[in-house]
Order: sequence, then C-alpha cells, then structure tokens
Amino acid sequence: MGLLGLLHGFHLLARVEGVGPLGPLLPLFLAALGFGLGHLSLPGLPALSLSARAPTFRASPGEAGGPGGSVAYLPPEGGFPLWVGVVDRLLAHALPLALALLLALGLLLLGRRRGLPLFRGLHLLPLLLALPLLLGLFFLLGSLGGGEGAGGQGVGPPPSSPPSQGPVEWVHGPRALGEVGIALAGLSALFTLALLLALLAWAWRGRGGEGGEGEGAAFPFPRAFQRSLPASRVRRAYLEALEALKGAGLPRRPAEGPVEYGKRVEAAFPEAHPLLARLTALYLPVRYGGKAEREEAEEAEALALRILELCSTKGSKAP
Amino acid sequence: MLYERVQSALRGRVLLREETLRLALAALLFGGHLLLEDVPGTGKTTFAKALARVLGLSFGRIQMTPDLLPQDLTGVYLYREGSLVWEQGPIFAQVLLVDELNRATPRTQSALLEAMGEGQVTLEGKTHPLPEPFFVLATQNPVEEEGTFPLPVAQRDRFAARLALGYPDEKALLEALRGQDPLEGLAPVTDAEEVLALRREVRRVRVEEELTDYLLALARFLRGREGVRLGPSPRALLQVERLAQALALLEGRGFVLPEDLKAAFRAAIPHRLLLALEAELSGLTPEGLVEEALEAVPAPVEAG
Repeated sequence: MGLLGLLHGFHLLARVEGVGPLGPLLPLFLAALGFGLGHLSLPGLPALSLSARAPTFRASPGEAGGPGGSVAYLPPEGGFPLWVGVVDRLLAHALPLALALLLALGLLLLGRRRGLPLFRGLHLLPLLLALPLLLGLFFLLGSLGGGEGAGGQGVGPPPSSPPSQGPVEWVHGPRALGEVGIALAGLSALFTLALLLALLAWAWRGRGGEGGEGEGAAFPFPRAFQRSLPASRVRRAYLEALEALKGAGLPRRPAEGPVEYGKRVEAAFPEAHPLLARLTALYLPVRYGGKAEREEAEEAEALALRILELCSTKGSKAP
Repeated sequence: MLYERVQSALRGRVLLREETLRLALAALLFGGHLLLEDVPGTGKTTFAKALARVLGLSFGRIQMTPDLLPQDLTGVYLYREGSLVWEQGPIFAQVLLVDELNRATPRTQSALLEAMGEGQVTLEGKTHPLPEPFFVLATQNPVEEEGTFPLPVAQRDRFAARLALGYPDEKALLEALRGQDPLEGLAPVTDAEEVLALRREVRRVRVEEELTDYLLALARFLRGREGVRLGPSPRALLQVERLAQALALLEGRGFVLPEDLKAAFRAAIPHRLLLALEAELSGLTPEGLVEEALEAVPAPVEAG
C-alpha cells in the first residue's frame, strides 16, 4: 500500500508544472516504472493523467502556445486502437484489484507459515486493512460511467478550464507516444504480476504446517533464511518466546546458546525462568536432536504464550 | 550416569573443578589425550591416579627427564636364557601419566606421541598394541622453562584438550587438609568394558549439520584473524566435534548442543594456535582469541 501511495505521489509530482525538459515524458516513464500502478485512482485523490483517451500533459510555458501560454495534448486524430483502451482499463482497475487480492493471499500464507492460526493473530491485521481497500475499488468500479472508457473512440472535449494562466493551445498528441507508454506500463504490470505469483508460490511451498523438521529440506532458499522462519511448531514457539523476552529487554545475544541464554534469563527475569527452562527442554531435542515433536508442540505453544503474557505484564509495569 | 558416579567418588578427595573433570572424562571417552598445564602442587598426579582408580583402569607413570630414551617408555628386548624376551615399558598402561613432558628430548616425546596417535608401539619390527582404553595425561609446568624442550605445535595438536587444574578455593583446600589420603579407600565405579562401550556410543551422538557449520565458522574466524599464524587444523576440528559428542553423552544426551561445542572449542583449540610475535607482544593470548571467536560467531539458534 505504501508503494501504491508513493507511486501515486510521484505521478502527481510529475504533473506539477515546471519539472524541466523531461516534464512531458515523466508521467509515461513513471507509469511504466510504477508497474502500471500510476493508473490507480483512489477516491479523494486527483485523477491521473495517463490514459488512452487523454494523455494530456502540458508543455512548459514559452515552449509552445506563445509566451506565458501552454499547450495541452489531446488524443491523436483518429483515436487509439482498441487494444490501448483495453490495456488502459485493465491497468486502471483490474490490476490494483488483482494486486490487493494477491497481497492478502500472500499475507495469509505467510501467517500460516509462521504457525499463527488462520483466523486470528497479528497477520490478520493487514488483511483487515486490505478489505476496505477492496471495497473502495469495487466502489470505484461501480461508479464508473460509460463515458470514460473505450480507448479507440473517445475523444472528449477539451477541459473547460485549463489549470494554468495564459492561453492554452489544445493539439492532438503524437499517437505513438501514448501507445508506447501504455505498452510499457502493461509490460511492467505483467512483470509485477509474475513476481507476485512467484512470491506466492514460494510462500505456498514453505507454508509449514504439522510436519517435522524434515519438511524444509526441499526448500530452495538459503539455509539462513529457512532458519529465520522455522517450520517446526516447537521451534516457532521458542522463537516467539525469544521475541517476547527481547521485547521485555532480554534479547538473546547472537553468540549465545539456548542453555547460556536460559541462565541469563534466570538471573535477570526469574519469573520467566521456569517457563523458559521447560520450553528450552522441549526445544533442544527438536532443534539439535532431530526429534519428532507432535506431543510437545501444544505444550511448547502454551509455554510461549505464557512467556508472552509475562513479558507483556513486565513491559506494562516498566516505567 | 558415568559422570555422576565418578564425580561422587572423587568428591572431597581431588581438588578439581566440575568442568575440568567433565572435559577429562570426555577426552577419555572419545579416545583423546589430555595436556595438563599447571604449576606444581595443584594435584595433577593425584588426579590422574584417582581417575585411573575410579575408572577401574591400570595406571602407569613416567617422569620425563632429558636423558630418558624412547626404549625407557616403550620397553626393550632383553637377552635371557638364549632368547630375546620382550620387556614391556611403562607405556603399557590404560591411564598413563607423563609428568613434565617438556623435559624429555624431542626424540622421546615423539615416541610417546606416536603411541598416542597409533595406539601401538613398534620395536625391532614387531608391533605391540597398547591396552584399551589408552589414555595419556601429560603434564607441563608453564612457569619453569629452563632446560625444557617445548612441544612444537604439530605435537601439541595430538592432544585433544589442554586443561589447567588451578588452585582450589579455600573451602575445598580446607576439606583436603583435614581429610584423608585422597586415594585411600577409593573404589572403582566402572571398568574398562563400560568405558569402551561408551566410546562406541560417542560416535552415535548426533551433531546437527548447522553445528558443524558453526564449528567451521569459528575456525574460519580464527584462521582469518590478524595475529594468528596458525589456526585450528582439520584434526583439531574433528577432535572438537568428538569432544563435544562425548560431553553430550556424559550428560545423557544423544545430541550435541552449541554449549557442548563451545566448551570443547575452549578446551581443544588454544594450545594449537600459533600467534605472530607482534600479537603476543601486544598482549593477545590464544585463550583470548578463542573467546573472541566465540563471541563473534553467531550460534545456530533461532534468530530471536
């Protein structure tokens, strides 16, 4: 979402007057760079300019239209071919929708991989945030009138009040420029979709579940990365306990082993020590002994939860 | 559990830190040998004798001097009643205390080290296997170096670990002063059979692949560290791993923890490091460098 906002901001910036000699080309460039997301028009934000129907960008004052005046481009004479309109519509509406859905699905898969239950937990928050966005998009789609679409045909009347002072000269823009821009945006959008699909495929393969330690073996990613997202429930529970203790001001030092860390916690946070000691006792055979973990997983998760509660209490009591 | 039995038998008799006893037993269990480096009078000989007795193993002792010959260790063929008779040397013991190893000439030292490596001695073309288990405790006095032949790094590399007994705390010393003769009435708590069976078990203790990577990373750190002329050898790393396996077994675990590996690394590496002269002059020590490596290299634990 941050990326969307950023791209939108860039696009608006590009529309500002006086961005230099590249000004007229910048919207096209940004739209292509922004994987087609420059087309996103959220309610409440100004409409973006790159469209098959009206690629209107303004020349610098003095460049055309006389001193102090400006020129605004209209679609080329005869309009764009049909494909430009179709791609434009896809980029404007279908792509953001698909991206939002993919992001939500990805978050769900990643959340499941981390061992969080599917319908509760922190990872649900982004999903809840994504839902209003989806609703907004549906609203936008529903509110669109027939007059806006249809790439090849629609050459609308010039806007009644150009935004700058001075005389404005309305001319038909170069046909090729608009087509190339749309094509570039389309290509980069496809590239983005492919990347997202690859990310989803990766999240699906590494989604974890009830399996033991061997499950991550077929994982085609570096071992250090696998370590950061353990597939085993006991290991995840231990990791969550570590994160909770880190939040309570007791982070494990990178060179510290689990037993050494347990001793340090015993001295610094005695209330948590019995829980951590038990969790460590469950964790060690799973982590270093290759032990299957089915019986211990629930106990480990319960211990991690209790450590989390203890740490939250400690954190809330801290000055 | 062997460790508890031995510890309980030696309690109050031998002035020894727990960690030292654990490492000594671990070295014995994986088939390594021990270098005891400490000032005189810290109980090195008593410890070796007591260890042999509680383990139910035969004990031999050699006091190294510059005029000692290899045959004085290994034994000789004597001409008796018309034939050559093999006379065993003191090296044929299950626990062998080699006192002041660095006082012997390199020739005699190497005869001993060959026996340590091969588990046998060869004389007059005949090979004589040493008794099993064969465990050498060699002592060195670090403060008196006149007239000694310091062990080269290649020979120090044969020792699995170097330990220092250190001075006991006052309470333990008081108990020792008031107590009985440490070896009086000391009974075996195990025998050679059990020790050999445990030796076979050591190899089965699981070492997670990431722990091996961790060990390699520690070695890499030391080899690349400025001031280190010679880092840990492959044999050293192999012995660290075996020592860690034995430490885990002594705790009754079937798998190695990062802490086992660290303890083994601390015991097994410093005496094998060779520092540059400038590094020594600047105050760096092998022990300090090992600690530096253990602090710098992340242990394979969940990244929390």
